[in-house]
Amino acid sequence: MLVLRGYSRIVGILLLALGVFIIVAPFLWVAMQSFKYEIQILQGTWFTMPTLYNYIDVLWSQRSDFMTNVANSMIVATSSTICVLLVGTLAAYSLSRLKWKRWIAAVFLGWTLIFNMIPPLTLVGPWFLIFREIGLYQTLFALTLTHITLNLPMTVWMMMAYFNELPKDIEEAAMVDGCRRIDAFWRIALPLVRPGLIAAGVLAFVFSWNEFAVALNLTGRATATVPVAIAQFSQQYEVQNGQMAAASILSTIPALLLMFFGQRFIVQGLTMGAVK
Amino acid sequence: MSQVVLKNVQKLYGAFQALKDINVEIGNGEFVVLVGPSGCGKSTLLRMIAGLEEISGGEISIGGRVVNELEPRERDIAMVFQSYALYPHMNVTRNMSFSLELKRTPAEDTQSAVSGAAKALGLEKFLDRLPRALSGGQRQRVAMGRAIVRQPQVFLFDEPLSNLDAQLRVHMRTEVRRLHQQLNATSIYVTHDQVEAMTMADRIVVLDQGRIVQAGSPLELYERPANRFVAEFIGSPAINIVPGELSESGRLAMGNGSYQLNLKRAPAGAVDVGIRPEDLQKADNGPLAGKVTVVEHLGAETYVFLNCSGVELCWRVPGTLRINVGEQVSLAANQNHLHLFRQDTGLRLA
Repeated sequence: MLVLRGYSRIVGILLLALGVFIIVAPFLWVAMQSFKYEIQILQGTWFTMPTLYNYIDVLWSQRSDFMTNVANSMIVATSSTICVLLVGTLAAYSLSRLKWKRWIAAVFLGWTLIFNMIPPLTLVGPWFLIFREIGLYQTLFALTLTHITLNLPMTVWMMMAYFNELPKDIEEAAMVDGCRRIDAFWRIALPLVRPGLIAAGVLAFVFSWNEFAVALNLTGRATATVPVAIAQFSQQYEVQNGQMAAASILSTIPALLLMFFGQRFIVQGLTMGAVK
Repeated sequence: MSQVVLKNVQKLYGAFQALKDINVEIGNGEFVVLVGPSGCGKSTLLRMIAGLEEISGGEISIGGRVVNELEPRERDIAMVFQSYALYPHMNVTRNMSFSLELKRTPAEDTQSAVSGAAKALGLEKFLDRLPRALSGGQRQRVAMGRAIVRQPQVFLFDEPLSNLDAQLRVHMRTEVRRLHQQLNATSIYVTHDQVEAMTMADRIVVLDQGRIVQAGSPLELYERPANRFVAEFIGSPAINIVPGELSESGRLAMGNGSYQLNLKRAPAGAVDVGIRPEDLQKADNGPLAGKVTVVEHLGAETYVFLNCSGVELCWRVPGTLRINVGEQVSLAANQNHLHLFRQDTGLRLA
């Protein structure tokens, strides 16, 4: 670990503080706005008596669908995360353990990368046409499918790193001990990559929760997710800054909680195999 | 009955032949050690017996049953891995009882099997610990306990002691041997350490480049190595190899002297003469003379290394003998213990 002393220590702390400020300041600013009345926001008043008006309005007013939006987001994020983990983990295990021909694994992994390399908006057009054609346009099911597609590559790659780190001996010992391959996977390999499952799950959930571009284009009024709903506070003739800020702050809560519990697994997962 | 019979066993990796025509019969209760330099195919062979590697050709049978197409779990074997391969998320008890759990053995039988094995291995105090809270030696013991509780037909050991420190390795060597005497189960043990092979085996199988070069009891291998490779591989310190010339009459010229050997039909030509370090004696005007370069005192005995006109020799003498670096020494070999190998093929002569 790097130990700083004297001047370099002060400079180090200042740089760190700057970094934290850059990341946290916009969030704090939005949080501040969420406790002000619209007029105060427009006047640019800095210090006011905090009010919960925006939150009450977003959560319980007649004209707000925010709770429906939260439910939609929950359904899409949860179900896509479950599917992604299920398919991704099995795919990663297969690629890591079964003796696939090199080119098959390479083509598969390369193909999955394509979805992360091209902008999701490129895919939105075709998806819109497909879903309208088969009658799934503006359904949560369609959105869930797209999120699975977008999040699967990252999960496969991450879980593969975890499985590759797992010594093969342990599973072989289990197979000599009486396990079938599937038992060795279920009883030995899976429990040992649990940190990976948590990390990949948290990331997939958060990405799906925050995903905006696809959701905006494929959902309708009844199926809008939270990011879409937040954007709709800003309309042609009126921008509801206060409500928008409050909804934004509320929308960070699930992700914040998940990140809080899952972050040590995520850091471990993303840097896995980088150093022994 | 738990014989293991290997018939013409082969292993191919693409076009590369990793194992060629392996034929071994391992008797019931026998402790066989597969030994050879790294990359000779010994671990592959063991893994093929375990069912962890496909068999490219030939036949492997365990207890009279051909197992070529059987899964590892159907072969009734237990294996101890070099890395121990303990289940990191299970405590010692569960590590040991896992196989019985899979077989749905009644709880009280499992309990007694585990406590029996724990007692035999001195693990009673650690039963609730996770593997990461154990030392290397203790992990090794758990790995063995896991094998013992199953009462398999055959035990397979894949270099189980090579991750331990030297002192512990010597201790565990005796322990494994003692366990084998207690259980009297057929055991196949892979190692690259010839000392382990010599001290533990009923029978040693020496492999080199995917072939069996010799199989026999430790002393047979030591006293009559089939070729130069085995002679050099078995024995510590290693055998001395001195170039010589054999005449048709059976006269061996070596160093600056010669020996009349009692050979029938000796093929004349260049030979390599193998002389064990303990078969050299001090002799005035002996055929092998040289300057002492290094002296290693081990206490009970001393290894004296000397340079004898370009050939490095090791001479094993009692620890009481005083000898200094730089001294000129003249040695003779015990004529009855010379090993002659053809220089071109390395095969033993006579």
